[in-house]
Parts: sequence; structure tokens; C-alpha cells
Amino acid sequence: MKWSRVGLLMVVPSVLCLAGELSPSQRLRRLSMHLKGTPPPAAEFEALGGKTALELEAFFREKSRGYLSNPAHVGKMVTRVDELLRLRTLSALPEVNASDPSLPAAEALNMFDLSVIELVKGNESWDRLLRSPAVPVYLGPSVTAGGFTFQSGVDASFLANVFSDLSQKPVGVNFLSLEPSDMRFAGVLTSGRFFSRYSTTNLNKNRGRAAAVFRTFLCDDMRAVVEPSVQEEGELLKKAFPEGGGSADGYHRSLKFADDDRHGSQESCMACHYKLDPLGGAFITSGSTLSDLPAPGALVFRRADNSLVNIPGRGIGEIASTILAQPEYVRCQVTHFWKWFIRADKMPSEARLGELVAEFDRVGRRVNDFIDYLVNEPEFYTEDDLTQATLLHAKPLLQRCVSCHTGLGSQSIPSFVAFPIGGSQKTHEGWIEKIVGRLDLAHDGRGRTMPPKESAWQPSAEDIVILKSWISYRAMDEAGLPSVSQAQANDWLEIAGPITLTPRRTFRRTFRRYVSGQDIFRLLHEKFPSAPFPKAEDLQILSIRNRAVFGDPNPFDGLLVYENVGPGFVKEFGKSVSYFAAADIESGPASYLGAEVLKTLGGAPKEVRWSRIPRNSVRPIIQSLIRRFVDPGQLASPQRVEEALDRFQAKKLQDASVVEALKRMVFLLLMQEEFLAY
Amino acid sequence: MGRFFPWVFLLAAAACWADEEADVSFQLVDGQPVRVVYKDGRVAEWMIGRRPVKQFRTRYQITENTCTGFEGARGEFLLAFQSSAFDLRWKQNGDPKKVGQTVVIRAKGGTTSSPVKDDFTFLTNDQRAAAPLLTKDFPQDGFQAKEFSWLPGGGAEPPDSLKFVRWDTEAMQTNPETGLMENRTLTIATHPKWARTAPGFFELRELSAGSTSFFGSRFLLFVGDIWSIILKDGDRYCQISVKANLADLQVALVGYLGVQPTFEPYTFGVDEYSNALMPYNFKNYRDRWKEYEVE
Repeated sequence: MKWSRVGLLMVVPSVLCLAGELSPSQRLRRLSMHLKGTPPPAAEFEALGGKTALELEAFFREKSRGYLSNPAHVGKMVTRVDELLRLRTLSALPEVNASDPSLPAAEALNMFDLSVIELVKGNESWDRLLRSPAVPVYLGPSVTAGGFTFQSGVDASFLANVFSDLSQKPVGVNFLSLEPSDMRFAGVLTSGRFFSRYSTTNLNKNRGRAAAVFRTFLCDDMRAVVEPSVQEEGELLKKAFPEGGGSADGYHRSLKFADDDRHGSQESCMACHYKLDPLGGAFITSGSTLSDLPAPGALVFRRADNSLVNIPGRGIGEIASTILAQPEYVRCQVTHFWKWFIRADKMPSEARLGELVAEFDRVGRRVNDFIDYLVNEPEFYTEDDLTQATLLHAKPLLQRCVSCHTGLGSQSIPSFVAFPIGGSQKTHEGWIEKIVGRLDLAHDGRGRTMPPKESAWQPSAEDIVILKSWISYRAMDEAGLPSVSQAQANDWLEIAGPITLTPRRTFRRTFRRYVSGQDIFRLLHEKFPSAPFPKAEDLQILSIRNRAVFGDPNPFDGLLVYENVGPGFVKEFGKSVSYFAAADIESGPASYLGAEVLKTLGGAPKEVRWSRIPRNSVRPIIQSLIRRFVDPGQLASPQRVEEALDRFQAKKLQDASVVEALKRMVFLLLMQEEFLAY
Repeated sequence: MGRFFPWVFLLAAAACWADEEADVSFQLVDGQPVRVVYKDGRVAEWMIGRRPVKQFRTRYQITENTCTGFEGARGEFLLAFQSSAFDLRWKQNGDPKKVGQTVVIRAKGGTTSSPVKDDFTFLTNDQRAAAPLLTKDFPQDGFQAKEFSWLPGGGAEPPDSLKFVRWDTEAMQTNPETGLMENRTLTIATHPKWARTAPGFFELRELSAGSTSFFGSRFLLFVGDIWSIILKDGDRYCQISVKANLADLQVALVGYLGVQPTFEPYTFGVDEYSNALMPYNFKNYRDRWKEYEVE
């Protein structure tokens, strides 16, 4: 609680960010944070000085290529893909293996994550997520127990039906070659982690797997529709959370969930089943392990123009190849990259999306080449004026409506993102009015009837504000042209004039972001180099409990439980800083205090009180801490030093030990906007 | 030969010396009880408590069939099972109270004691190949019913043999990726093969080596009260959902295991418990006795 109170006071006053092009140092920091998860070193900031605009562009291009070859970039991509497929993010940094630096983290030694690692390391085509010429599988030493020999790699048993000779393979990462005609394999879809995340049951019949494929690779987000009675809802909650009220780990507090087993047994689900069942059929021979037999299935869906795609495949491998050839696949994948590297709260216009798709194809869909392109585009380093929401801001939310309603027969709706909605100005106005009414935007969504309360997705308060602002600015289209009158907007929303939006930071969604998840530990590791990096088993740095407060999405629904820094974040962050700082300070106190001051203490810094520090040494110590812990790109002005001094003195640290006082000072410095956001 | 004599002599002498000096000697002689003899004169004897071979019955009902649509057929699955217990007990000991008690060992320098006993070992027809002597009286496993319309070609005379692609069992478990409880596959057996050996009875003939149901044991076919069977019918795959009544099985199993077997000295060489299937705790002590001290 102590950490929380102190920290929040320091972050809240500075949440506003400025619109427009970032300064070179801001851009450099943003580039580094996006690609490596840590800020650039001081020398790189210094190198920015005195450069012309052209020289700066060349500099940033060189830096992005350099950062893309950093192992941390590979680790960050592993996390992004884990989240994309709604898998649990790893509890350690994917790129760090303290026991064997040639390998990724032990947790990442599985087919799924190894596939991503190879893809990114080799700058391969993104398509290899679905079709790859080889399967990377880690095989550990054989273990004999009870007369049976086991290969201890996590995927050995998953593949045992297909490869009978795994126990003969060498220890380490093996690449099992596949024939192009082998229809049993479809990249990460035929990995142990994917199968475990999306288990199949008698009722589910592989529909969960099929839905994940549609969502991830075709951006068709079908959600299980469950309409339980009050009594049934209680039963379902009891079933999902047997301890009552939440999962035992305290992570999954949201009670809005859909029971996979029911997915498909309700009438309202059937609208999606013409797509899910043919694809699910291609998984039928495999339960929790991969079958030696491919099963036929088909890729079936309706295009935006309502034409039907129905392409059979002899196995999931052939269906995966079919997916790769669909224009919907390319647009969808480009959108993922846009959300990761630009922003998720504002989509590119149709014209811009077309350009991005062309570039994605031009670079052979190679992952790093496309990222390199994106991070050197103006959208990466320019923040637009967010005060006026356009359709591009409202689009991600409106698409959720369209996604759920598509194929619902009598409840079907026209595309809310193709203007005019419904084909004419009259229908357009009618639909906008309906959106306002169903979401009860006039009353901030309090009395909304859509989405239904059972829906797995519910708009956040922020979502409501975006939609409200968009309509209050006359429901502007992608180009920023108004589509309804101001009087209509005011009337529907019961307002006197447009509602402006305030730019803000979130963990992942917006242009400006808070450092979150594994990046927090990358940063702390860099700031405290002498502190041994905690092993996953020693200290669950990203334990299930603190994933959510550190801004990791809930793997069940892919949504963020917390979008902003909150008390839980501050508390966990304080504990993490304490762990790293204590180890670093104790192993090298001179670098914090100076050799001369250290001599005057007359005891170990852990045992001596802070009041023993000579008065005239306090200011230089704080100045050195600011230089060390606040990014070199941000200036430690004399004013900041005075502010920090005041804050530290107000904390009455005199009676604390030197180590404890330093830990707190470091925490106060790190719990700053400059450190936590980019 | 002659020139090797001195070496043979020396080796034999060394062996005798080792025997004389050994603290523990395991007497494993065909046709004789298994005894462990200690240097100080104490003797322990390895005892076996055999429970009878029992055929357990589990009632089932077909709840869904994606190919024939036929539902509701009932029948029984039969599974042969035998459990035995083993105990190394003092036969001679300076402390008369200990005679008849289990030998307790402790790792040298360690603090944790453990009895040399294997309370629960089990056999099913899985061990037929590895233990023909132990399983010679085992009845065959399989399913029996009057109604086989749920099989592909529903309503016709059942085929002589069957081959399933998969047989999974399901139970509520935590999804390791989301942390939520859900119905998940618990065990999976691949390519179980069946032969119709009697009217209304399909015998389980084979399970694939790829089966992952804990050592490939067919006992695990019956874990979880929801079974999912995948089989091929021509070019298509069918999924058959089965609800099993495990309550009866549980009651029968608890009753079976609840009756303590009568222990008797185990005769070495009579079956595969002497070698391939020697229970873990006794085997561990036999192989690593030097690492332990006896309490």
C-alpha cells in the first residue's frame, strides 16, 4: 500500500501528452522501446545532436535496422504472437536463458514459441506461422522411469504419433523436415501450446480452434454466444471458478465469460457454424496430441461483398495454404502490425491500408522488413490531434458490432464502417441514432442494451467516450468529413456541443504507451546490471497474479484487465524495483554513494542509517541518481533535482538504512512519466 | 586356460572378500523366498499380498454421433485388473518387537525415513506382452452390448473388427494458458483396435504405442466420465460421444482396494515381479542399498 500511494501521486499529474511530431530524442526512445523494450544508451541520444533532417532520417533507418537484430526484439515478438493467439505470456524474458545463452528461455522451448523465434530471427515470411518447411522441436535428455523411456522435451509426447524416432534425436532444438505435401502440419496451429490453449471436447468439436484461426488470421472475431438464465449463470460461474468469485490465482476477476462447451449448441451460435464446423473438421483426428492422420475440412466464409468462399482441403495444412492466399488474410496481418507498432485505437484508412498491404507483399511479407518500413513511417513518430474523433477512431469498436451481428439473420446489420451506413443518407442517420440509443451514449452507456450483457466483449468507459466524441463531431468519415448535422448529434447525445477527447496513455492501445509486462523487467535489468536476473522459478517476475496489473491482456479474451497504471501496478512495480535495487546497491554501494562517502559511514550501508550521510553529500548523490535512472534523453534540470530533494526530504528517510533510503529514492525516480512511458 | 588361472583366482578371492564385507546381501534364488540378510544377523523377507484378478464393468450410453445421428444405445465396458502390494518385513531381528514389521530405511546422513514397501501396483492387459505369467488368467477387455447401431452403417450386422482413430476421456481441469477451469481431454489413446470375439462383445486387441494415457494403460481409457471416440467411416470421420457411469466403477474399485490382501513370502522366479516388473521401492533398495542405512 505504501508503494501504491507514493507512486500514483507521481504519475497522475502528468498523463497528458502533446500532439504533433515527436522530437528526435522522443522518436529515438519510442523506436528503441518498441523494438527492444529498453531506452537507447546515452551515446545514441548524443549522436542526434547537430544532424540535418536528412541525416536524421538516415540515422533512424540505421537504428531501426540495428534494433531489429537485437535479441530483445525477438523476445518481444514472441510475446506479441503469444498474445495474438491468446496464449499466456511467459513469466520470464523469452530471449534470456541464464543456463544456456545459446537458447531462449526454458519456457519458450516449445514448438509454438520456437517457430516464432526462428521466423523473426531469420526475417522470414510471416506466412511461416501457418506453413513452414520444418517443425522446430526442443528435445531434452531422455529419462527412464518405471521401465519406460521418455524424451523430456515438452512437445515430444505431442508429436509421438507422427514421429516415432524422437528419442533417437540429439538433445537440443531439432528441425524436423516436412514434405510440402504433408497436410498434417500447419505451423503454430499444430503445436502443443495451441492445442492445449484450445482444447477440444465432445461438445466443442474443435470449434474453439477454428474460431481462433478465423480471429487471428482472417480478423473474423466470432464470439461464443451464451444466453444463460440467472440460475445457469451461477452454475457456469461455479464451474469456471470453483473457489467462487474469481479464479484461484486472483487474475481472472472478470465474470463475463463464455463457456467454450456451449459454443455451438445455441441457436444464435449457428450463424457462425457454417464457418467453424468445416474448419474444425480438419482437427478432428487430433485431440490433445497431433494425429498421424490428416483430416479433411474446408475454409468457408463470406466476403465483405457477401460472396461465399468454400475451398476444401485434405488436411489442416492445405487449409492453411488456402488461408495464405486470401486477401482478407493479408489485410488482417497488416492490421496486427499496425496495432503493435502504431496504435490500436485508430485504424488506418482504407487507402492507407491498401498501401500497407502492397508494402507487406513487396517485402515478401518478411517480418522485420515490414516492421522496418512501419517504424520509419510518419504515423510512427507523429501523434495526431486526438480531440476530434473520426471514423478511424470509432472503427475498431464499430467492427465489433458488425462481427457479432454478421450472419444473425433477422438481427443482421449493415457494415457500420462503410458510409453511408445502409446505403443512403436516411438509413445512415437512422443507424447512427440506433447506435446512440442501443449503447445509451447520452447517458454514458449506463442503460445500454447492446452488446447483450452475456457478450464476452463489453465497451469500456473509454470506448463509450470515443464513440460519443465521434458522433458529437458529426460522425466524421475516414477523411474527416461530417456525415450528420451538428443539431442531430446534439439532439441524440443530449449535449450542447462537441465532446473533445483527451490524449492519454495506455499500456498498449494508444499512440503513447506505458511500459508494461516483460519490458518493465528488461528496463530494471538494464538499470541494475549487478542484480542477478531472477529465474522464473525463483521469482515469478510475471506471475499470473501480476501479469494483469502490468498491462498484459487476459489470455481468455485477449482484453486488458487494466489499461492504465493503477495501485496494483505501483505495488508490484515497487516490489520489483526493491528486488533489483537492493541487489545492485548491496553489490556496489560505491557507485551510488561515492567511495569517499562510503568510507565515512563506518558500517555496511544495509545497517547504517541514512542520517549518517554527510549533509553536503546528499545533493550530489541525488544528482547522480537522476543522471543514472532518468533517461539520458530527458534532461535532469536543476529544478528537477530540487523537486526530488524536496520529495525525498518529505519522506523522512533519516531513520531508514542507507540501502532502504536509496531503494526508495530510486523507486521515486523510476515511478515517473519519463521512465514509464514512451 | 592355465595361464589365466592366477587372475581367475584373484577375482574369485576378491568377490568372496566383497561378500564377506558386505553389510547387506540379497538372496534372489529361483524357487526360494526373497530374503535380505544383514551383516549383524538380521534377516528380512519380501512379502506379497495378491488381490484377485477382477473384471470391472462400466455402463455407458451413446449421447451423440455425428455420422449416424444414432443416440441412446447402452452397453458395458469390461476391464480386467489386478492390484498387489509388497512389503519387506523383518524375519529375524534383535528387537523382537520389530519382527513382522516393515523394514524402514533412511538415506545415509538424511533425516527422512521410508518403509520398503510398494502398497499399490497394478496390472491390466497392457502388460500381457511384458508379463505373460502374471496376466495368464486375465479375461479380455472390451465392450459388450446388444445394440451396435451407433457404429458406422448403423443398424446392420456389426463388423468383425473395429479400428478407432482416437479414444479420449474428458474431465474438468485448469487450462494452463488461461488459468480457467474447463472440460479438457484427460487421457488419449490412439488407434485402439477391436475384434468381435463373441456375440455382442468386441475385444480390445491393441492400443498404439503413441497413446499418451499414462504408460499407455488401458485402465486410463476409463478415467473421466465423458469419452470421445473418433472413427473413420469411408472418407469421413465420425465423432461419437459417450457418457460413462463411473459411479459404479468407483464403488467397485474402492471395495476391491479396501480389502487388505493376505501377505505371504514372495517366491523368486515365479513371475515377472522378479525381474521386468519388480516394484519400484524394493528394486531401488536392492540396487542402491549402499546409499541407505536401516533403522
